Amino acid sequence: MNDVLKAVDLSKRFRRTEALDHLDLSVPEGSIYGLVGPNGAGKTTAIKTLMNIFQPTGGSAEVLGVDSRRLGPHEFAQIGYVSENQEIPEWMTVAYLMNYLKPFYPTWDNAFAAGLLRQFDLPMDRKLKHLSRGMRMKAALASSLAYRPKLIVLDEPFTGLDPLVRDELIEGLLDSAEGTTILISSHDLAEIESFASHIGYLDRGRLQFSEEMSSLAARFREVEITLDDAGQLQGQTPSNWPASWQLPEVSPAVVRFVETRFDPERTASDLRRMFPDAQQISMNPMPLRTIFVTLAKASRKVA
Amino acid sequence: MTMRQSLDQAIHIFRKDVRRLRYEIAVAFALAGVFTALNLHEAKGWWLDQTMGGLSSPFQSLLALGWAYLLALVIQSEALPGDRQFWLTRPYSRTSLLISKFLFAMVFVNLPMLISDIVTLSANGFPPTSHIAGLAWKQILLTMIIVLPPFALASATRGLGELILTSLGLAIVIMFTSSFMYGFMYGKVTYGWSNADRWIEGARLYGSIAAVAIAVIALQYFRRATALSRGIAISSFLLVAFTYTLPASPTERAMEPGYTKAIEDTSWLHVEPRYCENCAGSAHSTDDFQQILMPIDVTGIPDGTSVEIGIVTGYAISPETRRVIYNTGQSSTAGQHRYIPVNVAYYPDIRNQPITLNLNVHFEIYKHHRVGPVAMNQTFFAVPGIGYCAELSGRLVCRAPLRWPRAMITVRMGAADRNFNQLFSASPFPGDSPITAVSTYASGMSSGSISDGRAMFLDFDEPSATASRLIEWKNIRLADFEGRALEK
Repeated sequence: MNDVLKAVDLSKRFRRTEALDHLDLSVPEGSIYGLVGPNGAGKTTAIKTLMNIFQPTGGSAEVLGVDSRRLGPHEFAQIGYVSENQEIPEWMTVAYLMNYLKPFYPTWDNAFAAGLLRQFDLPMDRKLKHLSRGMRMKAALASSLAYRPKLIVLDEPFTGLDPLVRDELIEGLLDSAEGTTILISSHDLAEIESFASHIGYLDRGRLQFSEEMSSLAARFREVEITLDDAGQLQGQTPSNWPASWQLPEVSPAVVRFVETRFDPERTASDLRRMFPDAQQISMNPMPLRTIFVTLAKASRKVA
Repeated sequence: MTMRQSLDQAIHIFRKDVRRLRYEIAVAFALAGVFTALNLHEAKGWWLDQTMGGLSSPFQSLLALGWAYLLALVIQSEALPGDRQFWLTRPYSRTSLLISKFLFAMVFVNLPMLISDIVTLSANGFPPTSHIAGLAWKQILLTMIIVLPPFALASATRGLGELILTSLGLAIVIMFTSSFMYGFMYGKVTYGWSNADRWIEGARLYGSIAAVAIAVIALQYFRRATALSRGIAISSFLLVAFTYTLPASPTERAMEPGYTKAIEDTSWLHVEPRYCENCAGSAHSTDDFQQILMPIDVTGIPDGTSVEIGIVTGYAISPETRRVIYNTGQSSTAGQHRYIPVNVAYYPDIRNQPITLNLNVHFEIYKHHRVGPVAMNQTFFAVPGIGYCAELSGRLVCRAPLRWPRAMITVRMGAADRNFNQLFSASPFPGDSPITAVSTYASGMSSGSISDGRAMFLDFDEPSATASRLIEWKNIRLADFEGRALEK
């Protein structure tokens, strides 16, 4: 599968702040790639660098096969970009915005555009500045879908929206962009976990991991071990503690941790080796939200 | 993107801007209309109307501010600095965007001014088709002075507040640096500024500002390099402020050949100090400093030529004290005599010593010709070399198209050869107004006494060349020139 978007060793520095730190990122064609991470992780910087809004200070990126620094009208005619902090021409009405943008896009589909406006229930004659935040996002999304872009880039599109509007936006996006590659950033995994096919976790400008959602859920387990000998560990993790066992909590009788590379046979074998006297071992799948909290905590601890 | 597609997109963006700024555009048109009306009114002679007269000049500043505001709005509707503008990720061609903004400036700034000029010229009897070159020049100047600077500033700033603060900052930097450099350079270089090439100062300033503006616009529209373009702008303005103080160069003078052409050989011209009992005098003195107005004789001037002495720079050397005293000043004329100022420090020590004066004298050489006789009339009549003149309310009122003739014009009447005010325009460029209307009156004559049935002559002294000459006068005793009253 081709990568619609690919960053290699991409860096962006603002004076003394390393906002992007040698980012390697691949977004496969047709995927819905969720770029998640806490506030200030570098998600918006990454997207703006990929969109040629910022110039990278190191590395390179390709978008639709073109060097991101050379993105021009031809490429932007195939990209739909919506951002929570984008300044839109608020003096325009919804209808004027759509009519104004139409000549810029050779692939603009009038019927499709009309359908989007109906689906989002947008008032055509109202100025954008008089719309609610949610309605403005809908207008921005409609104007970015109407030409059937090959790539849709959404930067924190759901921030500050109520759940109903968020669901409408997601529904509209998924209905209208089937087969389209989507890169969507969010600081809240719950917003995108229901529909993202791939996930990347960015923290402090570094991509901590990037993989398909299904494999991510499969490789995390919350492990709890009840020990026979209550004084065995004396509150310390053993010296040969595996690196993939994150966030250990050791009490005299119970040990808890998160296995980040779960493999039924290997993990069971490791547990038997580390805790031969274990009274009980439980390994439970984790919700994605918990996985990310774990990852965030682990990366902060390392930093 | 093909050229056709770029133009189509530019027009599409232009139409969007027109729709958005339709009310502001209407106000700008109204201002231009009032400006035209004021010009038409003032061409009759603003001094004739104490209420409305003289309004066009301040109104022109208001109009320029209005246009700058309009340009700032249109350019910042697709702001270049920043990372949140919607257009950055839309299929905008930067070329189209730039064309659309220039198109807007041409349609809503240049065109109204052109129409205003054409209307004013036509209403005053000057066919616009005869002044196409002048009108085109004025459009170029309008673009350089009124369009490009706000265009560049708006393209390198994010909002009106930032634009205003940046403009004020740059103005302060230019004024401060220029003032500092002028003070620093004073006496260290030979300025040689004369009336004939004063225009170079302004042309240099505006030319530099336009060049910097073009560089900033290009950087912003094609690279969005805001930090770089701001750095270039600030350093360039500092350089402009510095070069503003430097003397006119032969290359700059050559921009207007035949007018301020520098000539090397001035051996035919003789300048000597003149000793006379009643024609010299001291002007200022402190304990150590004295300004002597030294009378001079200028001879060897061919027929049909006149010579003016501009700024004189130089120094005096006293053989005993070896003191070197800088000397700079503008020559003057009083009565029938010409004077050059000799400014000397330590005057009490050297007043009776035979000193050597080394002077760099700047000459302006004029070609002289006379037009006339022309009969005076109450209605406007054609005057060759000027435009139209008439006697109105006791004054001679003349209208010239686009700019006043580049000549000192002396109006003389009848056998008495009465000398009227001299009218002079140094700049080869068009003035602010499409019509330059000038009034002159006879010194010591009461209003209403011009038209006494006699013919009028106009003496034209057109600057033809400039020259600089190093002159050394030895054994000058400054005490010989002090303390006498100027001839009345």
